[in-house]
Amino acid sequence: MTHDAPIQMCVNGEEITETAAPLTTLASFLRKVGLKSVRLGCEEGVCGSCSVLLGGRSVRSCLTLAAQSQGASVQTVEGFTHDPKLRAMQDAFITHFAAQCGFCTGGMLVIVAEYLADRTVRDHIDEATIRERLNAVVCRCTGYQQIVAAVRSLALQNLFPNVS
Amino acid sequence: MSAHAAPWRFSAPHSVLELERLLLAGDGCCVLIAGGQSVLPGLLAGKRQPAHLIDITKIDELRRIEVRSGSTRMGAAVTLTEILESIVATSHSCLARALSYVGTRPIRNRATVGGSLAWADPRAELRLILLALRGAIHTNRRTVPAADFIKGVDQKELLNNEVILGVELPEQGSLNFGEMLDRNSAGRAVVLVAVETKVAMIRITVGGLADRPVTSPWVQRASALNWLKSVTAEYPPLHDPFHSLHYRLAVAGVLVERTLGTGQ
Repeated sequence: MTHDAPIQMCVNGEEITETAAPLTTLASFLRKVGLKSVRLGCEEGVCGSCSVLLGGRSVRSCLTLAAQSQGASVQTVEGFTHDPKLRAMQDAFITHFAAQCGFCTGGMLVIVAEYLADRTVRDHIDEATIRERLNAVVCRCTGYQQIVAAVRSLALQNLFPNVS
Repeated sequence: MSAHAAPWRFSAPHSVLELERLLLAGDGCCVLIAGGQSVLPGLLAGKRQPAHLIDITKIDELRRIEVRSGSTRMGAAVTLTEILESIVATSHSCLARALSYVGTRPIRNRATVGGSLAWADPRAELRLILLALRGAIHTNRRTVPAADFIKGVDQKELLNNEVILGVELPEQGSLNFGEMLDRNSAGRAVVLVAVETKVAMIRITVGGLADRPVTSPWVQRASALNWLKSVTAEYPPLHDPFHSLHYRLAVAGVLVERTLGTGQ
């Protein structure tokens, strides 16, 4: 017998309450409320397609419990929709052919958003750092060359000028 | 039994006192969770089915990093990213270097001090550094020197209802760190070493050879390889189907030399 409990969190700026069992993952919870950019690949924390921002930090939503995210602020790619920064990220990915099947792209953009918002990013716009960040998501089709190029062009655009 | 069947109860206490009450009431049927990066895959696959899952990450006193002269205290629920973004990354650059080898950023954003110690992977970076620095582990019952706390695979380190509250990290002195992963990044640890130097002598702490990290006495640099070879005579060798002990010994020797050579 499992005891479902109501879980409340702020998802993409909207307060959401849903009942979930103790072992419901944040990934299952988010997909249940319709956020299908959260993709389940390996379900053991390796592939990164389920990455979301929890309190501004990237996490594997397959290895985070919904119950542990109670009261937290969660962002998925859907939440970037009205943000011009997402538009810039999309443009860069298109320009550099950095997406192919698109399965990993949601997770990839979450990792890139965290990197671009990092206040030390201006000191680390080198390929080694970008690759170290991107190692959090596995892409099976495009390979990383184009993705690295897209992220590098984004980092040089300084999308987060207000971050000191 | 289907996956996701247990537990039937989840709690997130806000104080150690509340946590201890839950553990007493749970009568050994509780599993503690912090970041969950090691414990969750097994729970989600139904390999363990505790009646009660207790989240320790909402306990404020376990989330603090306190820097005092001579020693630094880090709470059990402090994440690896929080350590890497704190003053500890500067005061303990060898620890920062070691933690940067752990998983990927999203994993380090969740993984905690207490989780790493409780999971007790034989090749865990934090455990190795804690042993090399002769640090200590604070629990709700006692303070245990790292050398006494660290045991082999599947050996019980904690008593019943005993909870890791944090660690005490002495100053790093001359300690340097080196590691080899099974691929360039986001890989698993194969061998890791921490080396302390004093004039012509060195003291090595090595992980990846035995079922636990092991520290040498002060030895001559030229005797490093001999000591490394003696580790598995004293402790059970660590089984690794992909990297033979012979290979790992060679890697350990190279890592010690590189660690001494770079001075990082």
